[in-house]
Amino acid sequence: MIFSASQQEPQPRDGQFEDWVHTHAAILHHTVHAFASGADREDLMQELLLAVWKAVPAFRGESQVSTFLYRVTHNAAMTWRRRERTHSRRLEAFRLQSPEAGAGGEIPSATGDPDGTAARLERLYAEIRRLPALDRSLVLLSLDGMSHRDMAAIHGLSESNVGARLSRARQKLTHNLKERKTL
Amino acid sequence: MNSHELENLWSSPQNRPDPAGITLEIGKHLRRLRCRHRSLVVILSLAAVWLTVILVRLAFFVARGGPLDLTREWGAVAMLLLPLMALILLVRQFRRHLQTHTTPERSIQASLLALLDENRLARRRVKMITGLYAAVMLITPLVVHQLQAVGKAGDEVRIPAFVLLPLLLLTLSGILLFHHRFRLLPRHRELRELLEAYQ
Repeated sequence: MIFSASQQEPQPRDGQFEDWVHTHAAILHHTVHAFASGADREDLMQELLLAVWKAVPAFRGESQVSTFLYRVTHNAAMTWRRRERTHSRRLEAFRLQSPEAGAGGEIPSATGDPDGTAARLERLYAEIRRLPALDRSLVLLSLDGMSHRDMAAIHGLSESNVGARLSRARQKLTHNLKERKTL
Repeated sequence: MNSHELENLWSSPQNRPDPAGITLEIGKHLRRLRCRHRSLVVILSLAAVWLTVILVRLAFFVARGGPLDLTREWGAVAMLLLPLMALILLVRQFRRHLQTHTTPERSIQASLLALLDENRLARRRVKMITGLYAAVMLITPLVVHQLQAVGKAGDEVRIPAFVLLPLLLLTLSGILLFHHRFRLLPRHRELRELLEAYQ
């Protein structure tokens, strides 16, 4: 089965994979930034691309491609194992407590980011990464404009459950952002 | 920071990926993706082929009336049958897993349940294989004794049988137990925690 999938149709699968990744690059971009920091992003991006590539033959057209990709990438991100060492995690925790430094460890230069949007975005992602994995996924999906119904289908939850969790998660996020005065 | 400001920040151009960067990522990873996929299939196929060849050769040897006295050499046959029995058990476990988790891709929660079950099977495999190695080490003295009694082996087998083979099997067992303790068990805890968030 594995042989037939990869040997009988190598070109169409690769073509579809490339097309999907180009069209829905933002899904991968947001997921990688919300679930990994620093050098881990490269590792997570590889995992997401592998998950999408493996999932291509399983797509039956029962949902939109974007919904399918959200499910695949969020599943891969939530179950991804970080290889980052303990000292790097402590460094990230320290950076979160220091409002002057960016979450990437550098103070954004004025010339590269004149209005500070990139720095604020990086700090937003840092706060999103502090949420539990399920809440993080729901917040991301909500920020990307997904309906509660689609979120519930992706996660296998009821719509009311999604609504309640999302509301709590977003309150927590905005509270943390205000408290740390990071934005 | 209110929801409106949050959403403006989220939809800013800085939060969109660089198209050239994405093309680069695809190019870099596509070859690596295909290699990873192929190498796993190759490893599993080689293991299955190797085991099948040994068993088929033994079966032909016995069928052609080769000098095999089962009343005095049953130990060697038992040793060859042990991995076959283990393989059958593993295949049965895997099939049961597939029957239980028919559509793990329907939701993330279903996928987590399938992953948790796979982790459980992987931990059981470790125990099965280390048990198999222990059984092989226990049966080896009997096999050597029987082969020497019928004149099919001399003293030259002592070092391979009583030194090299146990060393190899103990090393492999150590690696498997390390994998069980430091990879599979923590992974089991992570997956359980993720799943608990859905309850």
